[in-house]
Amino acid sequence: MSESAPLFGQDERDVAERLLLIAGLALDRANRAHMLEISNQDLAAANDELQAFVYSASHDLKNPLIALLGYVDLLKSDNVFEEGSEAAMFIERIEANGWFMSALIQDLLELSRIGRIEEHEEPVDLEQVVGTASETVTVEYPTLQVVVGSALPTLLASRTRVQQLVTNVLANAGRHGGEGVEVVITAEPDEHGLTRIVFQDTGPGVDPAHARRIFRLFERLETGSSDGTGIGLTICRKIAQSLGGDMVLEDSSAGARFVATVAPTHVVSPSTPEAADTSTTTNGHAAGRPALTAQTESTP
Amino acid sequence: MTPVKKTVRVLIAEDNEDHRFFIVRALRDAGGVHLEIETVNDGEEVLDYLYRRGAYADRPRPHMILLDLKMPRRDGLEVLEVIKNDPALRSIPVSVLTSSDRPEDIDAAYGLGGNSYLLKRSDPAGLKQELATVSEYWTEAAVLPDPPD
Repeated sequence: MSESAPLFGQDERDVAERLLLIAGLALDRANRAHMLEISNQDLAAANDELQAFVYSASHDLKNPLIALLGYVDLLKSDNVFEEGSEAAMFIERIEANGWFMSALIQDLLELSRIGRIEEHEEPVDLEQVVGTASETVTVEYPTLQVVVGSALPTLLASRTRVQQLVTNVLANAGRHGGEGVEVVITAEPDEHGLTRIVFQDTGPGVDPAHARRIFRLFERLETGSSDGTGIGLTICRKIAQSLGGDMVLEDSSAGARFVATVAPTHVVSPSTPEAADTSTTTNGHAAGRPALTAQTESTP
Repeated sequence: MTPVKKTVRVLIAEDNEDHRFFIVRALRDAGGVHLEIETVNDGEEVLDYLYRRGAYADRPRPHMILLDLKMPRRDGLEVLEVIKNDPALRSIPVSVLTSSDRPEDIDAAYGLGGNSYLLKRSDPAGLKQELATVSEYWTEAAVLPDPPD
């Protein structure tokens, strides 16, 4: 019996083997991509679930708190305890802790909402927001000075969230910056085409070793009830991230410098024309509104 | 001659005993018209009351309802849907009074025909003021229909 000639030559077999190898690699890559997509979906679902849990838990905590503060109010208004007594002091402490818990819950609720709930975006004049935020924050920190140091952009964003970001940064400066602390707010493009919104204060600054830590949930660098909830800067960072950017603490020779970046898709106009050639100092007044402006000075 | 005070019957649906206490107290302190306040503890009881079932067989229908959302057995949105889909009950104004500020809940409540949506304030003074405003609006400013028989 004669040996039959092979159906395919060596070259053809080599090509087939190579094709098989390529197909195998492509299949492997497709599988990996599919697995990665599933992992991403699982991660997104777990993240959504976690945020929904935080929202529900925070919301449920509000109910006992309403009751707790209500009864404290009744005890105080009925003068059940003698003024200056230990019992009266205990009631004051219960109330103070109740209010602190209320602030914590509110901040957690806000944090869980950012990015989870679609919010109405509109053109938001940052300079106007700075004015309103200054008015709010200087009620608690009357010596805080807020200076608009350059033209500020109009952002395409949720007005509430931008207001929250600016208010939190200013409150942070008021809380930690000491008497008469000044915050200068400027805007500039960065090398990646993002807009940098810079908050430079004249306070004691933050140790660079804590630059990342301060944005973590519940992180506080000082003890004491005046130190806020430890959620404010986490909220700021999440807001900046929802605007396609981020928020960092940059090295600064004096004071603290917080920088929020915003993606071009969230910037309607890089600056407001009226603000382009002046800077405005506010102390509890709206920036950019001449009648309420405490002081106007030339751009350095 | 002393003018006869108008009487407004308010049904409060609230499962939290403490919140019920504060709501009733704040409404009583608000003054104005004479309020007849009835309270129920969950969504099923709201419907028993409105359909005069069991212990509520002889109760008159309320002029208005203050409705919590998160309640056992039947939640506030389910109850609202039943009320606003029943021609015999839908004319009764329903104000949702809840601690939920979820946009989904607000949209759902108005979508089902709720007449107002009120957030329970955490601060006692704010809650009192809020309920005084609600009471004044619904019992003095607004003209309410006679409750259905």
